[in-house]
Amino acid sequence: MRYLLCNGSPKGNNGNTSMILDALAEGISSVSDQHIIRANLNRVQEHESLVLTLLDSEVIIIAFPLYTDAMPGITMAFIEALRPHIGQFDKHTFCFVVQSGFPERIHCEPVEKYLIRLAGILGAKYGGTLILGGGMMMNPKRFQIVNHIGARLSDTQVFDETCIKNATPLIRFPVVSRGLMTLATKLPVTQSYWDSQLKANGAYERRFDCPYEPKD
Amino acid sequence: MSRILILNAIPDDTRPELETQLDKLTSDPKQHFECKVIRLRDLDIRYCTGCWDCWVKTPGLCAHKDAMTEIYPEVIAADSVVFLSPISMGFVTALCKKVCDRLIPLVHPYFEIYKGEMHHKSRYEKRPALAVWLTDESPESVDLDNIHRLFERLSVNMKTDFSGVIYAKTTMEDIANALSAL
Repeated sequence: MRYLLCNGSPKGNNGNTSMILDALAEGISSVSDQHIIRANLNRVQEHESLVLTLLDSEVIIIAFPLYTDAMPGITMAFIEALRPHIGQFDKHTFCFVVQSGFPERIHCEPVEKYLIRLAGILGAKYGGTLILGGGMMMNPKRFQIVNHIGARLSDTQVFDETCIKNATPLIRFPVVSRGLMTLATKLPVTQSYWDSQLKANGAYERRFDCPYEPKD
Repeated sequence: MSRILILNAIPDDTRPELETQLDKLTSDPKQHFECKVIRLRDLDIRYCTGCWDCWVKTPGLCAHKDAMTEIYPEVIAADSVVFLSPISMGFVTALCKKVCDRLIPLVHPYFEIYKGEMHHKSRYEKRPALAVWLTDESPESVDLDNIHRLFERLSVNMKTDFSGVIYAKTTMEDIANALSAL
């Protein structure tokens, strides 16, 4: 089986999306005779040639971080590069991975609905969307979950529905916990990830700057 | 008088009549709103690289020094921002999405609970309402629903109102009425 794993993160090999694809690729490779090609969509000038590689693949995985509630602009540019080939994807399966820093699935569900529609526009088989929420970092447990999803994918050529649902089971915070979460976000420790970077860059005192506020 | 900023994300010159109507509208003193149109395809706007400099190095300022530097103050000063785009592969154009991505300097990295969900804090007190204007005359309902849902989410994240998706406005009167209703 020929796989094309597309990294739709503007950060290319330096981001979380790349690590997720590492885990998926390792899982897919656990079954013999799997041919995997990796590509970064941040090289927008290479999109047209990448589409030719895509046409030669059977299972395509497009992974991206959630940017303003959908795919990053570079990923949308790649999707637009597929337009001239609509009608040529009937033997292709498209799977998607959406990763977000927010812990709840709710942030990613609208783009998931769009991705189902996209597969339909392309005339391709939809292989599912793996949503990974709440992860600023890829930890060993998460690597194992994604690795297993990759191994299952090589059996069925679609994402295992139960596995992908379990990857981020939280849809929204339960009503009873929202008050507690509101209090938790007021604690300095909740913002410590950002504060440490602001301090390291000497920008902490300017963290609430509003440089584009109208002067009048 | 309300200020409307139209971010024209039509990627090519295939809709000259609509763009001519828009030009007339912006210079029409009889309208009950002040309207400014920015044609994005003519500008040097780079893709967001996800560097987070605007959050952790130069708070509120994007690392790219391109045409967005002029657009940010216009966004903040507007009462409504309208994304004008044709439907492209079931969504808005990559040009439109690129500009949406570049709006992240307008929010703060800190997390907070808003409407029962985790979101980023707002950086600015005043935030424009968002709307989408599709150039297509008869869009498919599935595309309308998806675009509505995605921009509604963006509005929640920006903590502002979503005025909805408008389409099939071809005459100047239609356009003016739709914009007046925002």
